[in-house]
Amino acid sequence: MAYANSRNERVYLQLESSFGTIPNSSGSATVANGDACRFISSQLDFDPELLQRPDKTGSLGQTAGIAGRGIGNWSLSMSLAGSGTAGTAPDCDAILQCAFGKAAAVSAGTSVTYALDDNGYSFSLWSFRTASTVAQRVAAGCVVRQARFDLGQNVAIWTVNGSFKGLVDSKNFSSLTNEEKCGLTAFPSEPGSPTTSGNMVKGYTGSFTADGNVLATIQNASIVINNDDALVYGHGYELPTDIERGLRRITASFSLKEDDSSAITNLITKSRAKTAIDISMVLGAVAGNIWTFNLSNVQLSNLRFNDSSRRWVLDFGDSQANASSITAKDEIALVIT
Amino acid sequence: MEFAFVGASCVIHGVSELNRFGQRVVLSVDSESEAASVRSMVLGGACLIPASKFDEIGFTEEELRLYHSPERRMQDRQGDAAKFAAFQGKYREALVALHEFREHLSAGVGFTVPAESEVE
Repeated sequence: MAYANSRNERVYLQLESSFGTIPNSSGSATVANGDACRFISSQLDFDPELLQRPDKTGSLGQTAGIAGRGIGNWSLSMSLAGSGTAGTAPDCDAILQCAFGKAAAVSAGTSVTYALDDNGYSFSLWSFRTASTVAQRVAAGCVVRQARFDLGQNVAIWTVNGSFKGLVDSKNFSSLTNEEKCGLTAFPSEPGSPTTSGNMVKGYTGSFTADGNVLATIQNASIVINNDDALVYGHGYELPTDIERGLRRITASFSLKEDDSSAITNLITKSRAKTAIDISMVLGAVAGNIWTFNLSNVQLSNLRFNDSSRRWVLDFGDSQANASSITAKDEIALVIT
Repeated sequence: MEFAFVGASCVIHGVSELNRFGQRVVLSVDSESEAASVRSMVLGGACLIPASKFDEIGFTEEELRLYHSPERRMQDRQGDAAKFAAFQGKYREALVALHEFREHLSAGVGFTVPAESEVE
């Protein structure tokens, strides 16, 4: 009997061209070496609803129900790691495309830029574990609900989660319906030479600029992309058939040591007046692995004077970034250089 | 087929660990499945270009020794500015070649590299 060590897992990410259909060629999965992505932890939870008959039985007992419609939840955390080469997208490209709703713009040898759009993108998330005889899984139709990027740690880490359409696994595959197989006719084995690129970013390198002022006393900062996406069912289906997109909310929160400089005074006054400012958070200093998050029209909120450290700290809570016009989608852009 | 690495770091599990600019690796593309595997690696982020293309660019041994990693490039750029500028020009050329190679593979043409005149 073989056990499965927690570290013996690799994930692979594939952008889907059609929601919930695992990329395939005539039913054979096309997951390949280059789709591998290093990560810290993953969670794929799928538990179809239990439908219980509501009618009275004449006694106080409940008879067994039947399996109903399913929807899954996934999460991943990973080091922030660019490819290390300007103009080459990171291994986590598929997730970033889904988070931003748009394919990256690649400038050869220079940069990869993720900008917002209203498209509903999905990806397939494969989890292959050792031994190969334990359950191998793929979550089809993954959408990004929330992505969070943090500044200030030793190793920059980002966490991302969302919901997904269906979980296909090697143990149940033969008994799944065609709908539940999400386009596959067989469950594949793991690609032989998974390929990953780039190194981690030091979370304490880079810079934080608010309203044009570089703030060296920054302690920590977070940027969160919240997509109000819902997976919806078509009549007659056991699994979700589509993505409905809702209001997007981008927020920044940060803490910095208080001083009497004009830059800090500026933030305190603009927080009270709710004057929109631009924020730029840069993580990393090594070419090919510098992540610049540009947030527009941020209205600072929830300012708290915090005396829990030796020096006073200003905590700015979740402050929303806003589009500059009703047609613009410029609340946030991520440029990797 | 011989490839040259033009990235920062890349792990091809069970095959190679690439961490030096210009590092060579031989990957078979003879069968359809081998070619598909290498294609996936390159399109999935592995910064590999055909070694012949890399050689055309004409990096010197000294350049490959001095500037083989992003960290070394950051450290040594303060040294001989002219030397570094010459390397940067070629480095940029290598990255453009990588971009073109990926476009070429995306189009499903195969592993032959278009001649200079064919590249738009």
